[in-house]
Amino acid sequence: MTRNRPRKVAVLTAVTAVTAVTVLTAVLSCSGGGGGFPAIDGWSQTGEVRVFDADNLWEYINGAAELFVAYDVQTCETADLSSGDVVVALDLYEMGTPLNAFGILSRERAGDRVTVSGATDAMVSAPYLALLVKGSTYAKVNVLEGELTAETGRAMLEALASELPGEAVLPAEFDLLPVDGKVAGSEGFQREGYLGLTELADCIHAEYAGDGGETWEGFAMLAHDRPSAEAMWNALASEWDAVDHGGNQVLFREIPYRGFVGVMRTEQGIFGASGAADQADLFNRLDVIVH
Amino acid sequence: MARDAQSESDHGKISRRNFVRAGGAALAGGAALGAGATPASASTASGLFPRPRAGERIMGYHTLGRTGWQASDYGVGTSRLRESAVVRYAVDKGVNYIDTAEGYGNGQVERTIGEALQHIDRSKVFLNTKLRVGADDTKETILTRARASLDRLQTEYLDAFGIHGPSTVAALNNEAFHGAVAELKAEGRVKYTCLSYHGPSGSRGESMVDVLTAAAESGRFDLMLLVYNFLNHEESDLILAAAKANNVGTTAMKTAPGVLSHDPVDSENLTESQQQYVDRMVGRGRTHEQALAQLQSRAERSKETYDRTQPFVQRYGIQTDEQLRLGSFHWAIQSPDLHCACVNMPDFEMVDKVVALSGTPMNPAEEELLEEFASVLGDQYCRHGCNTCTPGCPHNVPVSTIMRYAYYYEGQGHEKFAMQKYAGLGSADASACKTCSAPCTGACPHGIDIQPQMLQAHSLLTLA
Repeated sequence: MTRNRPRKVAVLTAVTAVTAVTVLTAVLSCSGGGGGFPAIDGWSQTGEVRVFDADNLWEYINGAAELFVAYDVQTCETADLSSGDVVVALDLYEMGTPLNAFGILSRERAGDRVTVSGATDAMVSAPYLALLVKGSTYAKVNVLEGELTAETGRAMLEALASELPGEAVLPAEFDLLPVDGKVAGSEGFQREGYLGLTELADCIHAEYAGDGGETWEGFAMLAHDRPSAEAMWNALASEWDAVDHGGNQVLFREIPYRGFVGVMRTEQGIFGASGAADQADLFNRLDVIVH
Repeated sequence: MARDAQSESDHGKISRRNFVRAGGAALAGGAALGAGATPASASTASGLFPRPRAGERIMGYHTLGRTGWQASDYGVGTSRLRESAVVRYAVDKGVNYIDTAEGYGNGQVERTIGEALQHIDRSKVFLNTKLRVGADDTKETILTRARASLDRLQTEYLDAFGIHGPSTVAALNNEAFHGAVAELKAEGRVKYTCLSYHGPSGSRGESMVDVLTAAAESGRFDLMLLVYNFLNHEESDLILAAAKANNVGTTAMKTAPGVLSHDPVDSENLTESQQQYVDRMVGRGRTHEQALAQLQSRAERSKETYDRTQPFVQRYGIQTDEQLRLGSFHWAIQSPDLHCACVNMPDFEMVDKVVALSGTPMNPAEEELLEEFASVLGDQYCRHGCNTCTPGCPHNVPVSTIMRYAYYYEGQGHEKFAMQKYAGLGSADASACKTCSAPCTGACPHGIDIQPQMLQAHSLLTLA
């Protein structure tokens, strides 16, 4: 269990913190040359394991590394695996925390979501790609030869998930967002520039059902502790406009081409809604988010 | 990983060793100069750089080689892009060059750009995407992938389509790629051919200079994306010259090689990244107290360098990492042979700041700032993508790679990882340097004294 860690808001549970440390320790204890690369049932490793970190990940995936660095990638272990006439490159990104791992997945979603027991989330983009998150690991399966079908991809992810450490649950931070009206599977985490705004960093978000089949994004700004949340609110208050809503202050601004975004503060944190056409619309959306 | 520069330090001047070690300056590659958290950004920029003003637009345009396209001096680099509105905003301000790739976000970035294009006059932007081409790729697989990119981008055509990171001169002539491009051009789906390359991956791959000058001279590529910044421009200038001679368009990436930062440690209140560092050290067998002591030691070196840098920072009015970054962006567009600097613009504010630099010359203070940074770091910085010294080594020692491993050890504290990487070199490590007559002396165009550096790295990275 970590010590001397800044106090976090109540929603970040001790289980999550312990899991993150345990995963990181487990990965590192078998890293460096790939001694801990998982053996996946039905697949044979055909080459060496290569290990990259934030400084040299660009050598493996070029400019795509920048996104991973923005999400604090720790290591990437990669090896080729084969099964029958299918050869894949399996990339295992250790992202340090389940939230960062889920955040990367939310930025790289492709294909169709599949149900994989033992995984937080999984997708197959047949015939060449499959993705999975479990704990703080983000896994990418890139097909080099042959093809994956939805079923063979799902089966591979199932076998992989059973070998990965960590818990197969949505990061606890997402408990902040209300369930009512939320579009299942739309959750995401953005480290920087949420909605294109510098002042919105470290935001979890999800889509919510609106009128006429449209959706809008609700979000929460993550803070380590109450003073941090206070500082974030004050920073927004210095730049955004303010209006009263039912005795509560709402801070808002217009986003180029995207309507209004507004935030409210509660005991649980700072919550917001985007894409509102006008004040009434914004208030309605905030009422949904601030439950 | 420097020779001891303490004896060289003058009172008040930056100690090169401490600046490099504690500031985390990259000894190889393009990694950040600083480690740890970025200081809180100042809401007001220093007077050093042009400040954003309402209604500002791109002022500088350059002919993109034989394409004839009048490219904005700054283009949108998209590797971290999520918001389509930011692309629209940049285009509305006159940015007309967009660089992306199949591999960015597994195609999500292309989709985001595609959303933006629905609101943009397609004829007003130059859109370039690229893909990594493997040995097993055929013309058909590349065509399939290109069409998928077109679909995600929601466009009928690409202004340019390219190879993402060919690591050898031979890879430039991948006939599957060129066959696919020819077919796409015949269909009217692609206009021009491009490529991008950072430099070699460890011992794999040829230098950026060799690959990109060959590309320029081959006649098969109409534009290219290269690493270009005030720390590595000696090699890149060679590439620009070759491109100019062959009327090839040039665009730049990694234009901002460093940041200033300082990460103080409060053992009673560690930041998340510091806690993670401690956890990693504990995972490697250290006690918590040892890990904390190591963190403190790194922080103290960082603090010392930060303090010694302050007179310099204050003289130029540097307040944030971002200002050094903006100065680096500004430097990049001063070369008449570089047509477009691709910059990551993840939010509206960055668009405004970059646009404010467009078409403007650097002022003397900015030039002096960057010259001094280059002077401080010049003979410690193993340039990104340069392998100039390699041919002269009778033992084929991978100098650049070993310098990077030493940086992992000393500059980043990844000791076990660095030693394991070094051990992986086997007989190709720097042990040969012990008894060598050092024909590499003077081989580094940037003044790095290679043999002593290699011997020091060997001592650092081996257990014996």
